[in-house]
Amino acid sequence: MMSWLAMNIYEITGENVYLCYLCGKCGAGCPMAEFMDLLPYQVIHKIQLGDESVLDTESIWYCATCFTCSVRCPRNLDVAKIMEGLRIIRLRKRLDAVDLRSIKNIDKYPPIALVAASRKYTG
Amino acid sequence: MRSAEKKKEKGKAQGKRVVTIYFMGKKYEVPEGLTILKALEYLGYRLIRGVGCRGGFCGACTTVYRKHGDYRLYVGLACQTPVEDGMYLTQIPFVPAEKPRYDLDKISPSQSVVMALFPEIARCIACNTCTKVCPQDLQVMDAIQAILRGDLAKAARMVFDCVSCGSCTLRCPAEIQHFYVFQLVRRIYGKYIAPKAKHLEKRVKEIEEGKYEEELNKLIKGGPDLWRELAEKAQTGEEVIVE
Amino acid sequence: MKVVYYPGCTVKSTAIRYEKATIGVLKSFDIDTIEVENWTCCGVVYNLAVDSVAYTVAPLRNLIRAQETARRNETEKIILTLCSMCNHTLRQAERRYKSDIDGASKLRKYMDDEPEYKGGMRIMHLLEVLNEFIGIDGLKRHVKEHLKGMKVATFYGCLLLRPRGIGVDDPEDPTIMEDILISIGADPVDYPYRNECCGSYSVVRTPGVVWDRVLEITKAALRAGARAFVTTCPLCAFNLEEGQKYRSRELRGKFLPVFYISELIAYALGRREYIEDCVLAQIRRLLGEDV
Repeated sequence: MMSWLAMNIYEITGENVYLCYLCGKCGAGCPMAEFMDLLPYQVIHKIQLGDESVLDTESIWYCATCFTCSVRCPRNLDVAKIMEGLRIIRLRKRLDAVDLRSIKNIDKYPPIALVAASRKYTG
Repeated sequence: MRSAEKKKEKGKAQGKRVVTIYFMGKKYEVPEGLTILKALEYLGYRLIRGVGCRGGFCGACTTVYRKHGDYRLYVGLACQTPVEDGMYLTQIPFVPAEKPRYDLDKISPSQSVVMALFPEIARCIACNTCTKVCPQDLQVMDAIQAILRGDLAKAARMVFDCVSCGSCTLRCPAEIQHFYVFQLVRRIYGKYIAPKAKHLEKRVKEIEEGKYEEELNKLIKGGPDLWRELAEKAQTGEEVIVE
Repeated sequence: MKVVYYPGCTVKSTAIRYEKATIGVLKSFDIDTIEVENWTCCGVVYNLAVDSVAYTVAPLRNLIRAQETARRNETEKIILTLCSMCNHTLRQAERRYKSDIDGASKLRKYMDDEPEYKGGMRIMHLLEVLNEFIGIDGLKRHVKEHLKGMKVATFYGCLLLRPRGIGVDDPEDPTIMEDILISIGADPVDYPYRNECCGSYSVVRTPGVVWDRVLEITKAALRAGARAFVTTCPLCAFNLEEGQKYRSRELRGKFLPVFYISELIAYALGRREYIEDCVLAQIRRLLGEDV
């Protein structure tokens, strides 16, 4: 029986979180691992268990969508997509991770940074 | 017979067609050929909001409507758009938008300044909804994209005819306030980018130096009699000198 | 040979030196670039939701406009990209359009304001164009100013190499930049972070995280003996430059200048006029010339 959260993630991303057997490769290679409260495989485990507190974790916002996890997963799970799925659940409820009008030194950033940030952090 | 029916009968007798429109959900019949604005006034509505210059320039009378059997959403200026049979109308008297404060004299004419004041431009997904809804047929999305490309001059020229009606702002999924962005870009263009008219600068300098003071004073002192004399002379094509 | 060229917003603004150098390099090999008419922002980073096609609209619109530009100017069916992130986004969108039949149909119906995308265009990153149409030997033969074994640290970043099928080389052990740099006389060093992510867009939300990451990357590059970074991504370039500035104390004032690969190639081909003055000065300083 899929948890509600796992079903939701499947609808948004097409990825079946139950394929994950917690080998830990994604967490080992993640460049943002040292800043995350939960490592990627821990996030997936929470989805498997239907623990919705995973939507409040900071990990999904530290993720830089670099796909290192996805290219290394032995079960070909697109881990980056799953992290994005959790972000999308929040963003679609208009729970933005960043307020565009409150960014410090916004005029110093190249346009690519602002476009990418607005896509990933705002709904 | 009530006056509305009398008018209809008269209209029919004159060979004028009558069209059915729906305003705020209520069904009405109005003569063909009227603009939406005139039609509403014909029906007895007195408009104190959502009406302005009546000439297609101020953008106050934004109207959103659908047509019978057509799923598409249309937007037009009420003072310019003629009524059509089966129109479902809603007036938009005001579009909420907040203009961030800036001092035109102090900002630098660069893309990063526009992005810093309106970072939501970065959310544009190029869906083209703004262009489809513009009553002035402007290429709204392409103008926003020109700003993202850093081409402020092109964007300013593209949006010259914008009347700030706000239809784009209402419909935009990225919640961009197009008409305020465009206002800033046009101002930057006019102040910093557009080439200056050198002959104008020269003439203003001459006036400030008092080159024309004497002649102007003589004209003023001369009064209507002098003006009439000079005007008649000018009309014959003769060169006119103020003495 | 004429190709269609998709610049992307940052290459046209803060990274314009990258475009300038690239056009110079390609001219040396008779490759003309025709910019896509009326291109829009590609919409980086590609949204990974499969239940929505909204975010595929922007990159697809560019593919269509590139297609039309190619047709009107009779160019090869190649879209050249310089920016790693634009390359990634356009390719992801094309892959989505080709594989998702329902989604493609929805997109066609929605985008009835543009001509239909017929496919058949190859999206190629600069590195692939250099590799395929000029080749390592081709580059070697045209070198006029050998880079005298300048030790450089390649920085691929993440989206240039991933995911598989979208990336331009093997994500775990890429060699495409190293091959090009060796052919022009540079000496690329091996260090652990060359194919990893710098932090990318998270610099907007949590800049400190990116500066810490860049500190580690730079320390590793310095330990390997590098004297400069070489990259193809304007966001990586920004992060590497700013990160070193913010962590200059921990780096004890050491600073590795960041070059776009076409700037070094332009120098090696003797095309100094296509390099920004300050960048040219940095290259010459590293080669031991008095500047």
